[in-house]
Amino acid sequence: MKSSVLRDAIEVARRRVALGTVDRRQFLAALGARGAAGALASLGGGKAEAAAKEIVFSMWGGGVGETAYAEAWGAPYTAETGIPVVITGDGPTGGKIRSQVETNSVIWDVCDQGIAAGGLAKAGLLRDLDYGVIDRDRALPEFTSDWGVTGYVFSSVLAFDRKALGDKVPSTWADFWDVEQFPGKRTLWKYMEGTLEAALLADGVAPEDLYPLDIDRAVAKIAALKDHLILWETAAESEQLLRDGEVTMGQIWNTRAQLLREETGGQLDYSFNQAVSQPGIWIVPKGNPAGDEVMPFIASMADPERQLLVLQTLGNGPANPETEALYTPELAAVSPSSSENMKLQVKVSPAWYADNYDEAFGKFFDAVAS
Amino acid sequence: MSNRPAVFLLLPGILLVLAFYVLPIGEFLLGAIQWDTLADPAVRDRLTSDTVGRVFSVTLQISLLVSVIVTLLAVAIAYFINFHAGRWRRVILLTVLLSLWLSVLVRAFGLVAILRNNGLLNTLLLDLGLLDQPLALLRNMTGVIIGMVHYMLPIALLPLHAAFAGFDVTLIRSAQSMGAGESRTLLRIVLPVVSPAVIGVFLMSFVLCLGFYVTPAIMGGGRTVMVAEYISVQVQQLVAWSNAGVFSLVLLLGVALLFGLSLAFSRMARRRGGRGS
Repeated sequence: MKSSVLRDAIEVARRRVALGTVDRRQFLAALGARGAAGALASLGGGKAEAAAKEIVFSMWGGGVGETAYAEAWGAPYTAETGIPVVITGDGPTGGKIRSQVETNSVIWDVCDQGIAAGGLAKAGLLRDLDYGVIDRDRALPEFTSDWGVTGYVFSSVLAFDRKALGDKVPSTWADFWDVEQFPGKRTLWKYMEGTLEAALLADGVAPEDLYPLDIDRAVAKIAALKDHLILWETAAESEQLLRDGEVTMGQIWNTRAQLLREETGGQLDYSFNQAVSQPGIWIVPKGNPAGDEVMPFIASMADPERQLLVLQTLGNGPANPETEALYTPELAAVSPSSSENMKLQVKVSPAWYADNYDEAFGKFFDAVAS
Repeated sequence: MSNRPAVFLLLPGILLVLAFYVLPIGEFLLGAIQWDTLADPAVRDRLTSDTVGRVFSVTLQISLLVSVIVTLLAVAIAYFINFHAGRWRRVILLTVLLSLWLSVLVRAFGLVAILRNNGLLNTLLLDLGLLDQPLALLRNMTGVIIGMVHYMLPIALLPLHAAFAGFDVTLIRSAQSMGAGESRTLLRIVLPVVSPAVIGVFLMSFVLCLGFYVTPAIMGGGRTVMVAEYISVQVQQLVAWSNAGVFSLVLLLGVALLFGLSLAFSRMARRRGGRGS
């Protein structure tokens, strides 16, 4: 479960406002426009409100992430159709979705989830998306399935501390595991996503041969690193560990790595080489309040300009291949889904995780937790 | 019971606890657990795996160690405050209590800032030349223990302070008049009288430690997982609610057993003539 990809993205955007790279006025205007909608969302929109024609979009993050999403995807849709879109950053975990669907009290129409949602689909908790309305070609096909369309892309990249490592710059996961050449501690995400692929690549598996993942091999490789390992839980923690010099290398989200690079002028840096590319997937829980109305909204989110806006404010890679034509060189360099960066990375397989997430996470957690 | 009206007065309170505490928890725990699957060997393996054993055993070890340390420290501080501190009594008490009123997150992160490799403590010791390498006080079990002791100390101090404050000073004077020095007075008079309170505090600390989540998560580097966090992962990440229910039930029953034992013990102590806690 990616507990904070978007919450982390919020911080990114807030920081960017402070750094002056994003226009404050955009944010304040969006905040003002959303004022009423925001108040409603924070009251915890119950079924009554949701039954009125509106779309409730649950994602990860508070204020700034909600604002960015509202500005990029909510406001334009409302302007086109008149249907209000309420963005709420309460974090649609698998557990929450399941309890809502099972008690017939679903309050969300569309949720920002990840590959772990495959388990929800298998349990019959998600609606199949209407691909008559949603254009399947406007989203990366590798991450799209019957129950979820790729919303955006993010990457788990190798971030490192130039000052601590000197002239030795790590570029592969094998380097990450090499504690002799590259001394110091490392950090990986506590909730596993991205780590298994990195471990297998470090162990010599070719990118084409990654899937189906050899869970035991990956977990053994990670367990071998245990003495040098600190696990980060929140994205802010992943940044802080590198900033404080507690670790010299880390597998962290590209959004935070980019922030660190900007903040430290390159002293803390990262590379997309061998990074693990993962999707944010739009899913619809069964029994969603707005019913079929949510499908055109999801279709509208594929608009390339809107996705580019999210890339600029939050750092999430666009899922629509059409955005490729709109990139400036600077944006293309930092976008996790630009074609130049995609070539360097390996992609996770939602289908594999749908079947194996529980087993993989169980073994991973057991190995690192004790 | 000879006092009938009293029972009726208790009824609303009992009903409230039953309706809003016992029943919901019971329904959740027993409802979440899929009893029929417990016969399945695969499920049994998952529930009794090495990892589960390790998590529970780590939790028990840490809780035991922290409770012992906290109780000893709290006894020492309470004794000092009440019998030696004089004017400083209130100041010391307030300082300890102040940390109690801070948010657990603030305290955990504050400790991180002090204890980490380039934090306050290590930088000081390194600069003074007392160390060559920074002390690894964080992201390991040591860090977890430090964090938990820091959190539990004020909580343990309050009941002990009450016990010492209510101590009958004439007992001490009698002992002194018969020639007992300070340590003998402490060992033979003071401690036996406050021992029910001490045992009570120890048990309370132990039970509270079993449920710790935030502090070990922050100070353990993600690698010292205690049972509360393990259960949380079952619920949130794995949506394995049945397993979570089973672990929770085991924890709850264990704690209930402890309470039963402590009640029995305190009853014994009262019968022996010591002061009740």
